[in-house]
Amino acid sequence: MESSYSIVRDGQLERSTVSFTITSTQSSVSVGDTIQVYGVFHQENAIQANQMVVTPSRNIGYMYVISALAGVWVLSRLLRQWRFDPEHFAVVPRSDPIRLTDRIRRLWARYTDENIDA
Amino acid sequence: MPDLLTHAFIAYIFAMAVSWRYAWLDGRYVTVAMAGAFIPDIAKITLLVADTRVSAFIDLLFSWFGIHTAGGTLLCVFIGVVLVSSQERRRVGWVLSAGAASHLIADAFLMKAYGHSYPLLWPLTAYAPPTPGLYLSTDVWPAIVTGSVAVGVWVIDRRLPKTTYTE
Repeated sequence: MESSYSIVRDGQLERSTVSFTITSTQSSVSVGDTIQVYGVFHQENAIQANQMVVTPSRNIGYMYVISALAGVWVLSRLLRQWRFDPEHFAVVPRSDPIRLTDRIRRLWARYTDENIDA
Repeated sequence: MPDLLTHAFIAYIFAMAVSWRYAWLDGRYVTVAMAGAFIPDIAKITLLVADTRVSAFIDLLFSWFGIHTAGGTLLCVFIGVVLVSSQERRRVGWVLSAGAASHLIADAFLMKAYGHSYPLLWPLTAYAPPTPGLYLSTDVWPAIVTGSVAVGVWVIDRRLPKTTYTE
């Protein structure tokens, strides 16, 4: 496998690539997977792996998408429950947080032309 | 890290459970706990500005991973604390810290080839405790498991009599 690395030497950024041969009895890997290896160099650039952990590349997209969704969720909660108070130049909790269910109900009421007391 | 959604669910579950004991800890502070659970992953700035790039610029060894430790996270919590009004600082400080701590602890269970996690208590100690290797960052099941528990907690919370906290 190939591994690229960067080092800082005398304030200069050096990028380089080095090839390793890794021998492991454990996991199977496919192209693009990220691996962690804990093992012994038994000759130059050849590692006998004692432990190897494989992170499959096909799940990395899922991880980023689901993490972004979490960001949207928490950001929406923050914006609905907290507000910036320019008078005190500080973030303060809203005394009456905006509830999504109320908003949707109100929009629905407007859409169906009903009057509800909200 | 497991994905951020798992971290948000973990913070949500614990904050909701604590909210049943302390009336002031309502949905607004549950959100603060969830935001706190995102703090250690500010270290992922490294994907945009690599550690080595900063190192070359400041001419010192540098790693964003410092944010993903007790010390770095605490500094970020302080930033959050000064953003809120003075009456809220104590509560927000505690809740943000708890959320961030839940993230650091959950990440200490990630699978590592070396069998040790990472120096989560830095700069107090650089010791990396052994990890049971429960999951990988890219595993799908932690989000499903914690998400199911979060839904359960949400249902229980709705059935509980509503308490309103007055100052």
